[in-house]
Amino acid sequence: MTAQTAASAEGAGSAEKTAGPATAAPVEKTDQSTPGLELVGVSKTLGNNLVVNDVSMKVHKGEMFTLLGSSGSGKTTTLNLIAGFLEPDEGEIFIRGRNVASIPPEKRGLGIVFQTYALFPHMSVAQNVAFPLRQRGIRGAELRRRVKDALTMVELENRGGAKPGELSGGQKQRVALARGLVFEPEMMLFDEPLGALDRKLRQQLQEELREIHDRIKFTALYVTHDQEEALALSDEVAVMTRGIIAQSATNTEIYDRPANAFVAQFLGDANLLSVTVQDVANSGCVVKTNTGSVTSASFGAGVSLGTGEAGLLVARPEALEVVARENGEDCLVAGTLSYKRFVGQDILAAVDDGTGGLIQVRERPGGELESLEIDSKVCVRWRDSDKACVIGVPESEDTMM
Amino acid sequence: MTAVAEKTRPAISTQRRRPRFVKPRKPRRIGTTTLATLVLIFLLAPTAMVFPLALNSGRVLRFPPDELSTVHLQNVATSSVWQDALWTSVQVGLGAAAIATVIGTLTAAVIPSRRIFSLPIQLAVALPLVLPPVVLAVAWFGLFSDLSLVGTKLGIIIGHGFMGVPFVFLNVSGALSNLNPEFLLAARSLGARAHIVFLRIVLPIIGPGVLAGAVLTFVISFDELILPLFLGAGVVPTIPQVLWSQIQHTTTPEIAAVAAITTTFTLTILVIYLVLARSFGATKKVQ
Repeated sequence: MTAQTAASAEGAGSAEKTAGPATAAPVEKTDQSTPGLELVGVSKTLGNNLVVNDVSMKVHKGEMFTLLGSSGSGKTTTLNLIAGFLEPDEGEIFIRGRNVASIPPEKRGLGIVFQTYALFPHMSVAQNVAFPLRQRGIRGAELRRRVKDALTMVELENRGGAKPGELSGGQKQRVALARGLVFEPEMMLFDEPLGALDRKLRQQLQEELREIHDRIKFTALYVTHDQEEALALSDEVAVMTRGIIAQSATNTEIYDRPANAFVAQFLGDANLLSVTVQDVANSGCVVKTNTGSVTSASFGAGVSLGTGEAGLLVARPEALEVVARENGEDCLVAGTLSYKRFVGQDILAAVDDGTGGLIQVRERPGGELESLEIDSKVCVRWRDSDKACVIGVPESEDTMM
Repeated sequence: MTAVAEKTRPAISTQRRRPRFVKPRKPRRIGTTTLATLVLIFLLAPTAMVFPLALNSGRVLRFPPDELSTVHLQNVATSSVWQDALWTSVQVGLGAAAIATVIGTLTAAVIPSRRIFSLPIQLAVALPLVLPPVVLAVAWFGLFSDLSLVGTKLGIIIGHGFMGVPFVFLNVSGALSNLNPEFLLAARSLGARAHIVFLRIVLPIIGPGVLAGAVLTFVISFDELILPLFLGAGVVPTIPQVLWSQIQHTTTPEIAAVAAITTTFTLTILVIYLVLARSFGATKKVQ
């Protein structure tokens, strides 16, 4: 009974901090220096595997933060540690500045949207949404009002009486979101909630989620393996691999200035060319490729190379173009056109640099590429040389994937 | 004729679009119906016979009855022997259902669903189903005589509970497959403590399966003769046991009356079970 009272008192406390789900939210007035979520040196071993390896990260209040990784990267384990379903072996987790080490899942005040939605099949949509409110001692008119507001927010105000089994995948996902947000949680956790949906519906729901987030500004950690989803949804993306965070940055920075080869190749496509640093300027450097081409480039996030050091030049396919090669001009790569393919709005092409390496290029139709013949002599050059970026050479082959 | 056929063509094509609604109306259905009716009569007639026999007014079993009367039903209802027998049977049935429910549910909860179909588990579960009750009775008798449980209700309760375990196990396993483990995590994260999760999430989802298993065990125990015969040592008068001992001396309509009452009682419970099973099936569909 005491615990019940404590829980509802907590609920009231957080209600002051965050706005109601359906009202256009005034941004939180609490101390912005306290992050919504902070992990400090968190490690977890499952079986014999170090699944989460000394992970530290911060999610600011009101921010949508994505943890991106392939399966087995430790992202879901990290989410389970935050939710309290698992206990970390080492390290500490703070939710709004509160160390949650000794706090059970039901007292952490987290709204979680699961991959399978986990809507209770024996309860109606409205009962599902009411569930977290009932656990906090909310009854009667207030309960009904808040359930109605939450369902209105996700545009399902007419489906309150339906059973989850009668809903489409997209509708289930919305109910799960309403159920997670209705009690004004400390933060939201999303565990690949769109994974089971088809591409079109996924994009639509991403858009809706973004819109609701823009309105309410809840703090959220979003776990996914889908890089497009990660970039589209979040302000901040962390790429996770083998239990460590390979890079954490804003979505544009992580794409344009990857910190290492893994991130460069995991997010989007990337050609990696071996280069030597010739000169270091204030914000970037000048590099020379193995074939003697010279390019100015910026450094990847956190990368610092001295003159004469070896590095890798990250050249995104869409920042390059292919033109016919005369003699003596300055190509980034000179070679022969290996193939070109029309893939909807773009043409994908690959250029053989003569040593067996293929350089990928992605162009809009209408350029010179369209008229070029396979096996003709071509020149790959920058279309958007601002995107040139240099990173360090990985120490071992396995971090390249 | 041709003109008519042409005019009705759109109607025909509409029908073609929904062949599912047309197919069941084939004449073959008459044969199937007849066969089904015969099978039903074969199944139900012997059971139905007890009702006219029970309503006989005479002192001997006769069909058709000379004159309808409820005198034997009244005799049975007021007889202390039969009242004792009913009370004993209910106690044994409830006890057996309780034991089977606890053991069957725990077993189902402990064994992961993907392993339910593995051979050793199937064998263990099917054993009480396929072993003849006489074999079970002999085995239990040997064990219980050492434990001085022969001639006690508890002995029969344990034996019937054992026979009911497979029914509970199979029903609960089916229900558990509806229980997504993420439901439990979701409920916890939404603020429910462990006992609330059990009461509000686990129980409503697996409850119908548990109850179905319990009801089946009760019915099996209520109708089972061999174990009370062997383990009761004549001092635990369940209804089948008293019926058996009386029928050895005389065959009166009183016995038919008891049979009619027992049948009605069992049928009622089975109907309740089927209704439960149907609502359980509905939950499954939702899932």
